[in-house]
Amino acid sequence: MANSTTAKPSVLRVVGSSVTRVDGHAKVTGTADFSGDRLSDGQLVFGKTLRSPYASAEIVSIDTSKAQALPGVHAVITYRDAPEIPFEAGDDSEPTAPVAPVYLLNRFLRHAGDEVAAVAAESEAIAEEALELIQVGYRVLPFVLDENDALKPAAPSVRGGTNLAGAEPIDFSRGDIARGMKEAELVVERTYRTQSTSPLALEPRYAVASWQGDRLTVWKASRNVHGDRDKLARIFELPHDQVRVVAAYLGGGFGSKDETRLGHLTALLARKAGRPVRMGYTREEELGFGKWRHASTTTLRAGLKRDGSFTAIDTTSTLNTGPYAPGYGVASRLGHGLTYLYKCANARFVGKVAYTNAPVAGSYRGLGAPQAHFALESFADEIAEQLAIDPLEYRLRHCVGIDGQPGVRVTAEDELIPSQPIEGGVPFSSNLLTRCLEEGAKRIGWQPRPNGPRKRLVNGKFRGMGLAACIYKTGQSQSSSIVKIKADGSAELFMSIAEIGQGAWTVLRQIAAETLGVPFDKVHATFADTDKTPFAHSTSGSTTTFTSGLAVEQAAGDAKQRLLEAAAKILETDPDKVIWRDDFVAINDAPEIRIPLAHVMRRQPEQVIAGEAKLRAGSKSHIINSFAAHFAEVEVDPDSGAVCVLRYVAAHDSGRIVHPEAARGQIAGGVVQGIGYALMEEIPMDPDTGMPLTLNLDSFKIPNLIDTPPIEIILVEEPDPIGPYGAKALGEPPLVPVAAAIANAVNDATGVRIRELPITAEKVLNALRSLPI
Amino acid sequence: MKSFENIDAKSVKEAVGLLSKFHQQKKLAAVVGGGSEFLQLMKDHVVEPDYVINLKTIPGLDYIREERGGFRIGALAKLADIEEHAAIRDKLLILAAAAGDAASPQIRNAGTIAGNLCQRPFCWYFRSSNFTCLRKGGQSCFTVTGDGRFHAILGAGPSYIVHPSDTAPALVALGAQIKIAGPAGEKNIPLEKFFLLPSVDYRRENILNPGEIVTEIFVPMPKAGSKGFHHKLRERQAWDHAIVAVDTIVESSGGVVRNAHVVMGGVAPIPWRATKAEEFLRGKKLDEASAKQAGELALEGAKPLKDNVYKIKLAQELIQRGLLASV
Ligand SMILES: Cc1cc2nc3c(=O)[nH]c(=O)nc-3n(C[C@H](O)[C@H](O)[C@H](O)COP(=O)(O)OP(=O)(O)OC[C@H]3O[C@@H](n4cnc5c(N)ncnc54)[C@H](O)[C@@H]3O)c2cc1C
Repeated sequence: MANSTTAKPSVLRVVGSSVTRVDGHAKVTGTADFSGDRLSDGQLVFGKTLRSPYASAEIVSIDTSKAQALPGVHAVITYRDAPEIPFEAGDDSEPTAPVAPVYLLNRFLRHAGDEVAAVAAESEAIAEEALELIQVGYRVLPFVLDENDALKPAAPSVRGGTNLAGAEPIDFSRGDIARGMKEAELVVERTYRTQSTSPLALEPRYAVASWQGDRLTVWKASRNVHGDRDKLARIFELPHDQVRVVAAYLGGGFGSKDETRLGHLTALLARKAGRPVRMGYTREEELGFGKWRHASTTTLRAGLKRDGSFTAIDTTSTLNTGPYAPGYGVASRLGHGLTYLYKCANARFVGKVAYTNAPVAGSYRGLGAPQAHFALESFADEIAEQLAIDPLEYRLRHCVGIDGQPGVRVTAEDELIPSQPIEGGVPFSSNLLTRCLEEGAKRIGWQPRPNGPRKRLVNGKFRGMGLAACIYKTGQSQSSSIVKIKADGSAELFMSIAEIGQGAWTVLRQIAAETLGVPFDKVHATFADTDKTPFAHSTSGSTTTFTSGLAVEQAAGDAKQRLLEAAAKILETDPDKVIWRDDFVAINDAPEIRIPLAHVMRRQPEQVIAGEAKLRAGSKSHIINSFAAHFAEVEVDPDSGAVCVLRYVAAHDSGRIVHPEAARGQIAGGVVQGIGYALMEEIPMDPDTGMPLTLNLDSFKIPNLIDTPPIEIILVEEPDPIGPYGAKALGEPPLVPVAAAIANAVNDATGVRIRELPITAEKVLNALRSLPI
Repeated sequence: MKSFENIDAKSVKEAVGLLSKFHQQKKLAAVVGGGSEFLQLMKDHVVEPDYVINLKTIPGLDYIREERGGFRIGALAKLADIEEHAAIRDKLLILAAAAGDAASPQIRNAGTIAGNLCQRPFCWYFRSSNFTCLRKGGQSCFTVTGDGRFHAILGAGPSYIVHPSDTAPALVALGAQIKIAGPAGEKNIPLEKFFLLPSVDYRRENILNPGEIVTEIFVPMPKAGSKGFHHKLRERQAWDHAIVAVDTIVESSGGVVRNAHVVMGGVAPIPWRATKAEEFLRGKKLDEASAKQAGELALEGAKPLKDNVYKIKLAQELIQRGLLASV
């Protein structure tokens, strides 16, 4: 945990104000270099990937001679060129039970779209033409696409072992489920399903790889330059300092762009071609093979008292992870949502991650939390209805409070409390969920409805309102920061953090400026270049402002303290008597005695004073979580079943808001993504081939402007005692509760309960038809 | 995308001549209007022409003219111009509404009426370079065993596409004519006869032969006492194809139907005229019961795939709603 070396000022100058974003000018003027913009790297040639038409197949023959002979082709790679070092999809998650190892390219193809070969050529058009000249003989094998089918005994094995990743389910619990169920006055059980969908960042990803002898430079759309470097070094058997990874501006991430597969293939092609190679994904590849959100099936079984309080919650989820990179982290986040939002002494989560021949699932904003919240917050409404309690009242009474869950702490006293705990007995550092619920309800005009759905008709259409609460981890990650103070009174910050549109490059500078006591525009920065910036984990998991914010705060505090100490020596006084203003230092009670910073710096190496921090963020005494309450008003067309969201209110507790405009942008964006997830996004696969069908934006539907309601945002702002200047997570939470809020509103409007996303017109209509009138 | 040569045509005659010439030379040639759909077809490798003949350079082919008997609409008239045309909004509202329901504002600003009527299916198998379907020279229509939730329930087999045009059902309901220019000169035919069922030819959606292009649409003025209805059901509110669309024109007096046109989009490989329902309605009083019965008759003989049964009810009820709104 961070220990600031400087006291926090009571009045903030920079943190909390919407300063002009540092990436804004470059982006709106078109000068920002995105990953696909590197087109003039001297000798650059262009890569394209050949993908499997089958969900499961063995390559029995592959002839690349014709492709190689095509004029303009520089290299063709197949599984024969892949280094013999196992390479999972390049994720953090590696298989934990024996399975067939996979390499960068493989003889066995395990999903439609799996990589067969890649070509580098003078132009993308030639590369594409060359792909068609590669002759591949496939032996088509049986496959399984659905997560539940995959776990049946007769299912074809995806990875040569059991399709249950890790062979055992994830299983965590607190208390005693059996005892809790015994105490119950009623037991409710329901199953909910969620679909596969794609993060669909605006910018399709690219990588440019170039070799200078044995030194490799990869310039790519990356949220994790150090992770990329580690994996490139491992696969190409290079010392770390021979690999440099630089992140471009990212046109959105939403979970994508944390993989290393594209960078690796590009590097392999470049090595064989002897030329720098640029390769990227088309929109189709992004949609189909850029890693999906895990489809899931969740069964919830609750033991309850008549007042609606939980005596036990027993939860099981099965996740569709595709053939590679088992999503244990996704499952755990699902489990956290399911077991921690409601007060309950006895809770259990069993997570089954299933290997299938569907395209690979990976991280997508919120990981398993949107799946969990759709299930749990639909379930809570179903329980409230059964017990004749108003849904808002139900949350106010039974959601977890600041004192946390009942039970006993399991984490050792001197260890950090996990950000997604299962144990009870640990309080939250802050928890304003009640205020989110109350203020959101007031804004939307919530009317208590203890008697279930109201099925109101307004202008010939059903109209209803729904809400959902949200709990989300504030990531505890690792980061480091270097802050250098220069003679002119400016500072430079060095960090391995990616700007994915979330505003990190602005926010981290704000924190540095605040801590140093200098104006915002005096802080310059270098980000995400492994040759220049110190280690950090990936820019992910709603952790950047929190973890990296603490790192900057600490490094800036350290730098300032060193400056004051150096100045104190010259001024022959104590460091706490020294003040720093602009480009000079002075003695506090004798401000006429001042010396230029340059004078202090003259004695320093490189004429700068540097502060450093390297930390794993967190708390040994408290859980640090963010909270939210979302409210939706919807209209349902009784003739078609089509759902239209009329109004939306999102109230968030994310501690202190460092940059209000950026925060509002995060929330609005998350809500829109959530509406797509709730109502239309889906990637069906052809049942006969396993090929995804919606690989274009005319068939993969996301909300248009006209499908997007006015979104009212409430920032329930109270500084958290642990985060930097009181900040907590905000990146992912805005998408997390949306689907449940909409499902609950559809239920209020129509009486129909849709337990499978997306809530399409067809499903609503079919359910309306089967309702007793 | 495969490279191609673009030729700017200066007249209909030149365009037709070029098409015929390339056809004789066994070269693949195609015409484009706005290109809004064609570009996508090329990018997806569905069509890979050697020559693209640009019709937009033909002067004066984008007219919308009101005459005594009806409206003449040049092949290059944009969907947005039809949608916003004051006299069309006044006298052929269902056409303006249908044009305004197509695609997105950007596409309507580029897309022409001829292009809209001649667009290829938006079936996800047909459009995907991962599938060689019947319509692209393959062996089978993948929807039969695959996922056909958006596909045809009427008039289909061996291919199950639905015709994607929103203007086509409205124009058929209005009794429009289409003018075709070809090597042998010009001809006028009822638009209804323009479209082809897959049982006749599953490789194309209309009767255009090599060398022929569409030059004009003529829409006769609806008879006095006529009322129209257009509605398109879709998953999202813009930029989405019809799940079911219904266009009706009902000519009645004193609540009794003289003549009714009932046409559906999104349910068949062509704009689907419900002739049985039309015949049934003639001379009937329009009320809940007759409208309901007409809806049922319109869907008689529907053969849904496993994933699109829901379309039957939707279409029946939408027809009922349309008819009731027409008295
Ligand atoms: C994402 C998307 C969504 C869409 N959604 C809808 C929708 O909901 N409803 C709807 O109705 N339409 C929809 N469309 C289709 C859209 O309306 C058409 O793209 C547009 O009308 C075509 O006009 P164009 O002039 O651009 O045609 P082009 O793209 O130029 O041509 C389309 C086709 O027509 C042929 N063609 C063009 N002009 C002539 C002519 N004079 N004679 C003979 N053949 C000709 C071309 O060879 C080509 O095959 C959608 C299109 C897209 C891309």
